[in-house]
Amino acid sequence: MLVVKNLTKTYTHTEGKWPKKQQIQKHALNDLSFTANAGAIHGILGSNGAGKTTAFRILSTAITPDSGELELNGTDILTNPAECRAQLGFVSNISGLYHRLSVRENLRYFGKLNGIKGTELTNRVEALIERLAIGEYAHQRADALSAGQKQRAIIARAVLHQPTLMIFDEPTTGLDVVSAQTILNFMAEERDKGRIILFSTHHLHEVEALCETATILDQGVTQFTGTIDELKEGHATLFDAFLSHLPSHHEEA
Amino acid sequence: MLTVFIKELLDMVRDRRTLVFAVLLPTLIFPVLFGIIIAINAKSAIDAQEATLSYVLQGSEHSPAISRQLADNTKLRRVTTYESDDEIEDAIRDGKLHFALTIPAGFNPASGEQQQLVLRFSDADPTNKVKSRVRQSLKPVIDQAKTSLLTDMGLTQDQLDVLDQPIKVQYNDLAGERERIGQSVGGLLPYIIILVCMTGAIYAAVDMGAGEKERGTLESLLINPLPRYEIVIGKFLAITTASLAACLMAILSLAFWVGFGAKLADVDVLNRVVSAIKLSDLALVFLLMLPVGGIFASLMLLISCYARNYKEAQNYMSPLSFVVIIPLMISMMPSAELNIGSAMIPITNVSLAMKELIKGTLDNTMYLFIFAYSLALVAAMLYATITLFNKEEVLFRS
Repeated sequence: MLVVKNLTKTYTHTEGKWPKKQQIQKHALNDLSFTANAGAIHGILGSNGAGKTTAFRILSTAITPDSGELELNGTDILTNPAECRAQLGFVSNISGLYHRLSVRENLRYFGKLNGIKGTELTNRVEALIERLAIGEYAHQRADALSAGQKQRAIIARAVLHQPTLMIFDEPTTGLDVVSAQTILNFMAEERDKGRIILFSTHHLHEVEALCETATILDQGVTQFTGTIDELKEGHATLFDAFLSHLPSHHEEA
Repeated sequence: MLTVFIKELLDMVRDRRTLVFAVLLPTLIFPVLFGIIIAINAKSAIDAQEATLSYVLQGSEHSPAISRQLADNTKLRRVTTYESDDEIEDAIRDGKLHFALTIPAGFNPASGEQQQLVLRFSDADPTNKVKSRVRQSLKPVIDQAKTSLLTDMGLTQDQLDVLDQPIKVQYNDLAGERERIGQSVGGLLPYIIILVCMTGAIYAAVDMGAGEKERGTLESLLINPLPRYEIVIGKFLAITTASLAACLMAILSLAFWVGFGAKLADVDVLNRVVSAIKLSDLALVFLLMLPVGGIFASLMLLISCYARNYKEAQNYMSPLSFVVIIPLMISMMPSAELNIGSAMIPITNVSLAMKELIKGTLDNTMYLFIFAYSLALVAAMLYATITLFNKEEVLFRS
């Protein structure tokens, strides 16, 4: 189980030119709290700039929060980041591959970084290549692949070490229908294996089809967290329900 | 760490730009440089030797002997186009005329008084042969005058020599050929090798820091269980390898082409270099470059990790060339010498030590001090890079 409590994160950036430079503080996350269970897909929803990427970066230990608590299956992520990294897989639409290495070389490299070696590494790499149907181009350099092929290879890389928690940050953005469906099916299969899956997307039909629970973020603040059925209660569509939890949208309107 | 190092090496070997700067450029730089120097020197010498010089002779009626000697020289051609002094001087400045010789009225070498001729020419081109050609043509006339004077004054040739140079100093140069060669080429060698070492590291460093950000692989790398300092050290070792590979290629190329030029082309200056520089000296030069490669690798990785993207990293690298060239220029100054003060200036110290190595005058203690001092600098800069690599506001700058 993943428990997230009262996460906050503020970025400081400089605006203006010397000598009128100013340090500006931006609250990327104000108060994020939710719980995600094993064997379920939890949607993280919000408009652009809501704080989803910051949340995922904190959850993946790439950055640290200003305050809050994070717990993965009883282990404090903030005090034991190295231990948690071995249980973590991350896929985003901006993730890349080493373009001068082949797909197979990319997978083997990340496998080794996770401490997998020898026959075990070979077996896992080849099994994933077969499962994600990337055998045809596994020997090709990554820069020769299409967007869909690349995303499948990135997913293979993220699950190679069999993580407990998987984060999918807009994994189907920019993909054709077939590639997107392959990825969604893969997520469902991983959920059925008992993994905790966090899923961010702007396609609400994907949320409806896959997610059991969801959290809606608006300007870094948790607006809703619960089951999809609870979210839809009193609304004709998921879209209406989603909009009703976006105060910033109403202010703009 | 080893996994990161091996992966980065594989990535580098497949990167055409890194290969060009780490292998091709250092391999070709010396043959191209030597080729250009030899070709330019040879061409200038041949041109100057073969050229026929045009001249104006004023007052030829005062010395038929000089007039005849000049006319007999097949590499001289008398012109009569220019008459006034202004016309003559303008023609010389414009390069249309090579020289003008003026014989004054009353010119008489047998008179017992010193005679004077006026030679007007342009010495802007140091390869010009005006003075030597004129001296060569006048020599029979001057010799004839000397003989005539000696006879008239009743002096022997030995007595004339004493009059000409009453005190003669015998110069015994103890520097030896090696030191002389080291002094003349020892400044250029580190300049080329250190710059090659730097360029060898640039593309590898840009790719391993800013390149990771731009490709979107940095986050995937950071969320692996491998400690961040191991990632940095793996990358640092790979960039150092690229830098030293470039340096080694340059040194091997230098050894090969100098040997080749000396043996096959029999170029005099190269023969002297071969006799002066031993292979063990080149090995010591390479050893001295190990920490220099490390300095470049850690500095460039630091800059590359700080940069937001590939372009920004490249923009930061350009001024870095000046930061390296300035201490190199200092070491090339004739007055620059290796002492405890200059041994504390990074790059300058290695460059001066290399020069002393080639000259055969480097003190072992100084060599070890510079080596250890440079290694300490590498350690400090690597620590700074690791610290930077742990700062999220640097890694995720936007």
